Amino acid sequence: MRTAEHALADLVDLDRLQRACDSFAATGDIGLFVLDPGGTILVAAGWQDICTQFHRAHEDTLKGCLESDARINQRLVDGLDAPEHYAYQCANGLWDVAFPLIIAGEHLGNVFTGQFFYDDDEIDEAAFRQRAQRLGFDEPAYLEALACVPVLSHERVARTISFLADFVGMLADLGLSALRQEQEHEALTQSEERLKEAQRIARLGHWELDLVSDRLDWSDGIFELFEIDPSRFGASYKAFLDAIHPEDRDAVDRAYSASLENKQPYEISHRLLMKDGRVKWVHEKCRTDFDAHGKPLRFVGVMRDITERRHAEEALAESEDKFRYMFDHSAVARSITQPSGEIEVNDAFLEMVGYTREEIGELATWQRISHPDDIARREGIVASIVSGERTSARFEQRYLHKNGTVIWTDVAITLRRDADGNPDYFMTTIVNITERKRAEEEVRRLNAELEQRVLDRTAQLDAANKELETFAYSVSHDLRAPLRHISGFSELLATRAAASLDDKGRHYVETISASVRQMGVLIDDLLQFSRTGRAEPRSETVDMEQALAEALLPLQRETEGRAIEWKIGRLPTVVGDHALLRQVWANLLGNAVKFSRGRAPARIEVGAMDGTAGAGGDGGGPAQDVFFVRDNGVGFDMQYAHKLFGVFQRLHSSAEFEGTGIGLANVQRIISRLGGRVWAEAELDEGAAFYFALPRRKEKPS
Amino acid sequence: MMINVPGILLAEDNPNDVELTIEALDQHNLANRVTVAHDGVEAMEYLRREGAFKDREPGDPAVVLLDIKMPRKDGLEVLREIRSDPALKKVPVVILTSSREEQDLITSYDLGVNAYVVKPVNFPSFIDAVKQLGVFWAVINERPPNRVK
Repeated sequence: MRTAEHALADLVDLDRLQRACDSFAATGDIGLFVLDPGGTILVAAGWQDICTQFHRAHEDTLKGCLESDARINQRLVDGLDAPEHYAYQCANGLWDVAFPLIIAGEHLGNVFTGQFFYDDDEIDEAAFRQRAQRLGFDEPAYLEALACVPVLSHERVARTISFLADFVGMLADLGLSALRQEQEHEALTQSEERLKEAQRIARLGHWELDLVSDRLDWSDGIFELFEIDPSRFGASYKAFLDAIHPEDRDAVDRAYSASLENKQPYEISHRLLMKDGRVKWVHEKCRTDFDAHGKPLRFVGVMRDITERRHAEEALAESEDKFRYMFDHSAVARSITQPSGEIEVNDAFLEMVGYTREEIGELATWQRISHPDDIARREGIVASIVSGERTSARFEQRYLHKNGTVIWTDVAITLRRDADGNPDYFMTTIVNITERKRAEEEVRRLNAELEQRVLDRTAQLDAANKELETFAYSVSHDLRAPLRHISGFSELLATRAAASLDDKGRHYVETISASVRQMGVLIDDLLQFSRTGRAEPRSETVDMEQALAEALLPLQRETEGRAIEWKIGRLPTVVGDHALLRQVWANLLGNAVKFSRGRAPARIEVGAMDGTAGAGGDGGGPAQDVFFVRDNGVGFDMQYAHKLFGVFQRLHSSAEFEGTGIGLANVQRIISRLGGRVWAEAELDEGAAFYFALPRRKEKPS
Repeated sequence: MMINVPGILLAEDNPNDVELTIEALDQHNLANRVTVAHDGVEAMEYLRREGAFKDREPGDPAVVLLDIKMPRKDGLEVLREIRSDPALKKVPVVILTSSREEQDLITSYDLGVNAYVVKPVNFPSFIDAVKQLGVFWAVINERPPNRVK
């Protein structure tokens, strides 16, 4: 059995139906009952005692009752093809007629007549009596109840059925109508809910002013907008006016008045001022309905909260203002280029290129103000941005000033794309770097000039050096010759005039010879010194022990017969010029030998040490080797140490020790040209020590 | 007769040096074999028997004592010409100079000089050097075979 969506009780007023059935039962002897499809009795009028007191009261006969109920139900329920009515004789021999009550296709109940007999039924009284005896019924009462069961003619039953069929039909129509009403109400309620929801979401409200009855209605949305509790305050025109921002009231009023005048709907955006001072923006759409005579009947409108949109618009406008300000008043030239080629530029740009806004409007294509040589490159870059290869670019480009001069710029260009990713416009920032370029150019020019100057100067120096070399050669050759002649002829004179020369005369000749010798050494030393300064020292691996040995060799003859204790340590190899380093050793050893002449024994020590840790007394330093020559000779006073390495500087008289004052100057010159340094430690009469340090480096590739 | 006695050609422009050199050689009795050329041009003329020397007796000197710095044609040019002349290239040449310049030494030996002597400033040393040179080249040294005339 189907479960009904609706209950009969919801659609039909059962109390009224009960009363109608009661009245029907009272007019005749036929009862009337309404049961729902489940068998529950909803309305009952004119029960037969034989049923209620006996048959349904005893389990044996109840079976027959229930069976007939079931049969009827089964016949009437299920299916819209149920008969309009169904007459049935129960197991106990009584008739009744059932009518299905179907509303909108739903079987909501059955209407039953009370039990009766047809007048042509043979009522077997003996059988009832036997049943009374068998089942223990009160026989006289049972028979009386049997006698109460109406006995009806077929015609009467037919008329009653006809009436009841119509009655049940009307009942169904009534129920149907009620059902529809209920459905409509439900739909309406739902629709209203939806409308409310929609308005809430849209922050929308509507109002309606009936100008005839002066009745004002607000939707929930209006209450919400005005922030008024609808349960405490009703809609009022005063509340509406109060809510409008004081500054906007005139405008709202004017819009309404104008609309009454021209009978046209209107829209207006204005502010609402909340009690706590907050401001809301609303948009109203209003309309007045008029009757045929032009008399206003109804004033309706919708109001929408546009505060958020307004704020967004304001923020956007502010942002646009800022951008516009930055664009217009930027100290840097900027431009906006539409894909169409239309260009918008700021004042800084105009200033840069020297055109007025009007002029640039007439010729504003990049081609006219760009340097022709840069156009192709720029277009290539722009194309690569449009194609999406990159989003922005930075490059140098030349513009042409109105006066024809070239402007160097540093251009940063970015493409803005719209929401769909299509190119919208180019934003370009153009920094004038002409001055910088000019400065760079100037620097380049100056550098080139400087280089040229250096070259010139070097050439001059080379020439001067050549000259010096030639001069030194001349000195070597030309000074030596006259010297030799002086020596030669004074010697010859001494020989030839030997007899006529007295001691003084011989002394003079000897002095001339000694001076000539000294001058010869001086010339040789000077030439050596000048050669050291001129030639580029070689960069080769030098075995210092070998160089030392070579320097010692010529000294052997000079030191013959002298008591000298040599102490020579191991020497590392260095990178330098073998010939020059041999010269250094020769000078230093020569000095040691010379200045220790008076010592017996003379002690001369030669050695080397690691100078990296600052053995030179200058604390820490680059990797270097320190060599030294130490003697126990006459030494010198350290207060003159600064003069030690100067050309022609001597700390001893020629009478004491011969010399030209060039040897140590030459040592210093050689060592410094090899990147090292030289110094000395001494004490008067306590000997001297000369040191030179050479950096450890790699041999230069030749 | 000195026709077959080999001489010494002294190419020297400075008269003082000429005098001192001859003085030195004279002390060893070699002075009479010295012919003086006052510059490189004269030296070549002598060797090739040209100009002022075109009538001299044939024969190469035992040695050429060659100063470097001379007018017109210097000693190194003379040396180069001697060594590149097939008729003269075997003639012994000694550079006798004031120059101790390394470059002069290198050039001289490159050109095939037989000896390079720096004139000592000190006269006794000078006398000694010249004497030894003269004796060695004019007396001790065996000359290259005389060219066929």
